[in-house]
Amino acid sequence: MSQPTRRDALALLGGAGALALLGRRADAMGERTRFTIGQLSYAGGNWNPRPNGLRRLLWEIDKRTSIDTRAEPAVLRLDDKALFASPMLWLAGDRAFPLPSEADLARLRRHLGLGGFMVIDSAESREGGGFDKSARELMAALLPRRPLTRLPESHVLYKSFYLVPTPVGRVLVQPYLEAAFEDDGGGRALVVYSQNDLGGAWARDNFGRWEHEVYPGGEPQREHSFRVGINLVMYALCQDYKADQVHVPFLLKRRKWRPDSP
Amino acid sequence: MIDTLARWLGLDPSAYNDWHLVWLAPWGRVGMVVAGVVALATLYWSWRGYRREPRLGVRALLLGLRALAVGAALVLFFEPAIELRHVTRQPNHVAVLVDDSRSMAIADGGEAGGPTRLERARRLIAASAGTFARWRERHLVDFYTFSDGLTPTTEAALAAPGGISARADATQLREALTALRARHDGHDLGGVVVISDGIPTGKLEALTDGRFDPESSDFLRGLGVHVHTAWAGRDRLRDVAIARVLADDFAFVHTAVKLEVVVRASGIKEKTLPLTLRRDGAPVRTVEAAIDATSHEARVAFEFTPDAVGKYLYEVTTPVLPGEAIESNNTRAFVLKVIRDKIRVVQVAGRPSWDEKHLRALLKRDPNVDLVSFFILRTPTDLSRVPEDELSLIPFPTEELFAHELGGFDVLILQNFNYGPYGMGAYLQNIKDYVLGGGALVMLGGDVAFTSGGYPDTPVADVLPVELLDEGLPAERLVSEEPFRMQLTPDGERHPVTALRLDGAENRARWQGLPELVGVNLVAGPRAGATVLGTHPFLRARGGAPMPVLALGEFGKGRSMAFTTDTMWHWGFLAAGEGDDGRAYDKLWENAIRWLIRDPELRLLRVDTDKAEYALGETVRVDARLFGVDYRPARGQKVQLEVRRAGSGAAGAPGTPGGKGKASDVAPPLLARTADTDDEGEVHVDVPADAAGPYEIIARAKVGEVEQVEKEVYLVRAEGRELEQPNARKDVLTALADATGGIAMGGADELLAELPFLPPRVVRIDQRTDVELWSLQAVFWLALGALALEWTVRRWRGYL
Repeated sequence: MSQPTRRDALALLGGAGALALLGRRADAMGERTRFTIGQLSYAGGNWNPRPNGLRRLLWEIDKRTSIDTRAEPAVLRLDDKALFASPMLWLAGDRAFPLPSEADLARLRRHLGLGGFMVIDSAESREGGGFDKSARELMAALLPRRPLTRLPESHVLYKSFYLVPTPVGRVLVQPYLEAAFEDDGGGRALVVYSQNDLGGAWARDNFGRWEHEVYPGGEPQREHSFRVGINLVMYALCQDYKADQVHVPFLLKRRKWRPDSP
Repeated sequence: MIDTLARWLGLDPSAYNDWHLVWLAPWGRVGMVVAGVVALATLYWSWRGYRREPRLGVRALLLGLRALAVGAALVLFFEPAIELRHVTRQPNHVAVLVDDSRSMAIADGGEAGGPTRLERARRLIAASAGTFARWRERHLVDFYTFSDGLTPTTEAALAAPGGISARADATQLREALTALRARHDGHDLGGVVVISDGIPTGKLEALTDGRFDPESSDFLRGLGVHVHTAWAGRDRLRDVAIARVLADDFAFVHTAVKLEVVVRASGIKEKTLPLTLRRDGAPVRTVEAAIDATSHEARVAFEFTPDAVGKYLYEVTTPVLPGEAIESNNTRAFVLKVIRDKIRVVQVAGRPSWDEKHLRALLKRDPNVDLVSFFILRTPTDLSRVPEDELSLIPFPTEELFAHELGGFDVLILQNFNYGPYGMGAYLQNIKDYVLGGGALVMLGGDVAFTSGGYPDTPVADVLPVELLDEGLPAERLVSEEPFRMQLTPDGERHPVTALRLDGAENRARWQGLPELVGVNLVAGPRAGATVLGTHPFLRARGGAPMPVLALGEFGKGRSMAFTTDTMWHWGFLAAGEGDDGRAYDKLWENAIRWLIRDPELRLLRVDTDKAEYALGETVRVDARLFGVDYRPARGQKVQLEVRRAGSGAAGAPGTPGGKGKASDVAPPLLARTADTDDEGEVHVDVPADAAGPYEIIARAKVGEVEQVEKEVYLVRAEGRELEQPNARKDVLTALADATGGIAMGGADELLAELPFLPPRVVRIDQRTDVELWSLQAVFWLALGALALEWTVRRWRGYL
C-alpha cells in the first residue's frame, strides 16, 4: 500500500505528523515477534555460503517496507523444535549436500503443507552443479508429486511489492525462478528455487562494502536482486494479496506505463 | 301431414305428432347395397335391350314399366315401414352465472354512495324475473355464482338484497365455464348468461384488439353454446392500486436488491404518486411514480441493500386519495428472506506479519468467506528508492472503504493497524456507526494496535470491548513482551466463541494444551457489559482483575471482538509443529466470525414457520427450538409463543414497531401459548391463517438466567390478483359474447327475453306404431300390373 498522489502524500504528511500525537508505537511486541527468515543449517556441504546475505536483506526490508525485522536470520536445523516458529525457510549452498533423514523430510513436508514457505538459493553460479543436483534430489524426495516447474511470469511473486521483470541475483544463470506448488492447478508456491545466487548479491561486509561483484548487470542488477528478495518475503507474508481484484486496475496501469526491461 | 298420413293408414291422427320411415328387412347394409346394385344392373340391361326400339316413347314406357317392377321388388325386399310416434321435447338448460368475486364489491360509476357492481347484478336479476319466466317456457333456468369456483344458487338468493356477497379473491371465468360444461355433460345446455364486471383473473384475461387469443377463442367456440353477457360495472372508477410487486423470495445480505412495483391508477388527476417501501413498518425508501397517461400505469424500481440476515416483512404503500373505490389495494406486502451468500470480511493490516498471513490464508481458504484485504506494505517512514511505477503498491482507499463501502461488509478486522498515518481520523466515527448499525469489528493486537494505534478517546474506542490505556504512557508501558498462556474465564469456558470442544472438560484441556503467545497490548480492563473470554495469567487490569486478552462486546446492533496479541497464529501453525493438529486456530476464528455476524445457527432459541406466505384458510406451522449453552437440545423447558398482527405492538420484542408504545396500545396477541419442549428441544404450534395480513411470532425462553427472545414473521395473503386491476372491463364481456355467437347486453337494466338459445335436443317418446308399407296389397298389385303391362307392350312391339 502506498501514497502515490500528491494529495495522498499530503495526507500522509499530516498523518505522520499526527502520529506523534495520536499513537505511541511500542517498537514491536518484542524481538521474538519481529519477522525473520529461518536459515536451514545442515551437515555436509556449505549451508551458509553468503553469511551476510540474509542479514542485509532483513535490513533492507526493515528500511524499505513496513515489516519489522530482526537483525539476524534464525539458524535452524530441520529437527529443531523452533522450526515451526519460522514459517519462511531459507536453504542455500554452493556444493552438494546429503539428503536429510526421512524424519526431517517429513517434518519439512509438514511445515510446507501447513502454510510454510521455503526458498532455495544456489550460490554455485552455474546450472547442474553439485548443489543443484542435491537440491533437485531433495525436492524429488520432499514433494515427489510436486516437481519444480518454471514460475510463470504472471505469478503474483513478481509483483508482491516491486514489479520485477527478471528475477536476477548476483548472476543470471536462469532468467526465471522455479517453484513447487501446493496443487496441480498452481495455487500456493511451497518452494521457490533460484540459481542466481541472491545471497551473493545482498552480502555486504561490516565496513559497508559489497562482498561480491554483480554481473552482467552491475549495480542496477544488485538493486533488482534486493527487489526479488523483498518480493519473496512479501509473498511469504501476504501470499497472493497482490492478485486480489482490488489491485488489478492499478497494476495493469503500471504495467502499461512501464518501459520494456532488458 | 301427420294427420293425413295417420288417416290414410287408418289410425287416430290425434295420437301421433311425429313419423319416420324405417326399414324392417334383416339384410343389413350389405344386403341393401347388393339389392341396389342388382336393381341398377337390371335397369341397365333392360335399357340396352330396348336400344333397337326406334320409337323413343315406347322405349321410355318399357324402361319405366321395368323400373316400376324393380322398384316394387325392392320395396318387398327392403320391407319399409312408417313409424308413427307421439314425442315430448325435454326443455334444455340455460345457466345464469353471476360474478361474486371481490371486485364486484366496488362501487363505481362516479356516484357518491352509488351501487356496487354486485348490487347492479342483483337489480338486474330482480328486474329480469319476467324474462326468466319466458325462458322457462322452453328451458330450465339454472343460477350460479362464480369466482374461485362455480357454485349453484337460486334466483331468489341472487335477487334478494344481501343474498350473496362479493367474497372471493379470483374471477376464474374460463374455469367456471369449463366446470359448467362438465356439469352439463350428457345434459342439454342451451345457453349461458354471464353477469360480471369483466375482470377475469384466470386464463381468460388478455385481449388483443378486442379478441381473445386463438387458444381461448377455440375453447369458447368448443363450448358449443352462446354465451350472452351483461356488464355490472361502470366507467369512472377512482382508484390507485399497487397491482404487482415483482420481487424474489430471497435476497442476499449486503447485496443490492431490486424490486419492481406496478401501480395502476384510474380516474385520478394526479400525475405522480409517492410510493413508500417499508421494512417491518419502518420506511426504507420513498420514490415518485409517474403515471403513464395512456396505460394508466407506472412501473417503479426500488433498490435497497438488506443489512442483516433474517426474514423481513416489506410493504409498498401509496397514500389513499379522497374518494378512492378501494383502500386495501393501496398497500401490498411481501416477505423477503435475507440470506447470506458469503460472509464479507475486510482485513486491514498495519504491516505484514505471520499473524496477518495465517488469518488471510484461513479466510481465503473458507469458501463461505469473501475476503478483501488491505495491507500497509510501506509506511511514510520507510525508504523509497524507486519510482512509484516500479512498485506494485496501490493507494489505501480510505475514503472509498470507510466512507462508502464499509456497510457492505459483515466483519471489519483491524489487525495491528494504526489509522493515524492514513488520514483516517475523519472515518473513525463511520466505523463506530457501522458497528452500532449491525456491523462487526475485530481489533487484533500488535505494536500499532489499541492504545499504540492511537485509538484512545476515539469513536472506535467506544465500540471496543476493552478500555484502552491513556496515551500519555511511555511506549514500553503499552505492551508486554513476555510470553504467556491465555487463561479461559468462566464465561470463556462456555461461550460458543471459545468452544473448541463441545464437552467442557475436553475444551479446557484443549485450551491448556495450546502454545504460548508472545507479547500483548496492555489495556485498562474490560468495558462495562463486555464478556471477557480469556485473560493474561499475571498481568492485571485496573482494579486488580486479570487483564483481558480476548473480550467480546455488543454495541447497538453490532458486535466487536478484541484480541490483544499478534501471535494468535501460534495456535495454528506453531501448534501443528508441536504435534497438535493445528485446528484450534481455525476453530476459534470460525466460532468468532459466526458469533460476530450473529449466525442464526448460534442462537439458542430459534423460531421458524414452514412457509413465508400463506393463503387464507391454510395452517401456519410454527416450530420453536431451544438449545442449552452447550448447544444441545434443551428438553422440558418452557417456551412462550405469541402471535400478533405485525405492528400491533409486542412489548420487548426486538425490532417490533410500536414496541415503545404505551401498554394500553399493545393489542392482545391472537395466540399466546406456553409449552414445554420435547426431547428434541422443540415446540410446535399450529396457527390458523384465517385473516389476511402480516403477522409476527415472538418466542421467549430462558437459558440459564438469560432470557432469549426471537421473532419471526409471516404473511397471510388474501388479495391474490383480484384487485390489481379494479376497472370494470366491458370489452372483455363483449369479446366473450362475440367468440361464442352470443349477445353482449352491456350495462342492461334487464336481460333480453329473446336471447338465442339452442333448441332442446332431448325428446321423450310416449307412443309408437309401425305401419309396414311392403305388406300392402297395393304394392303387390303395382308390381304385378307393371310386369303384365310390360309383357303386353313387348309382345305388341315384337320383342317376344
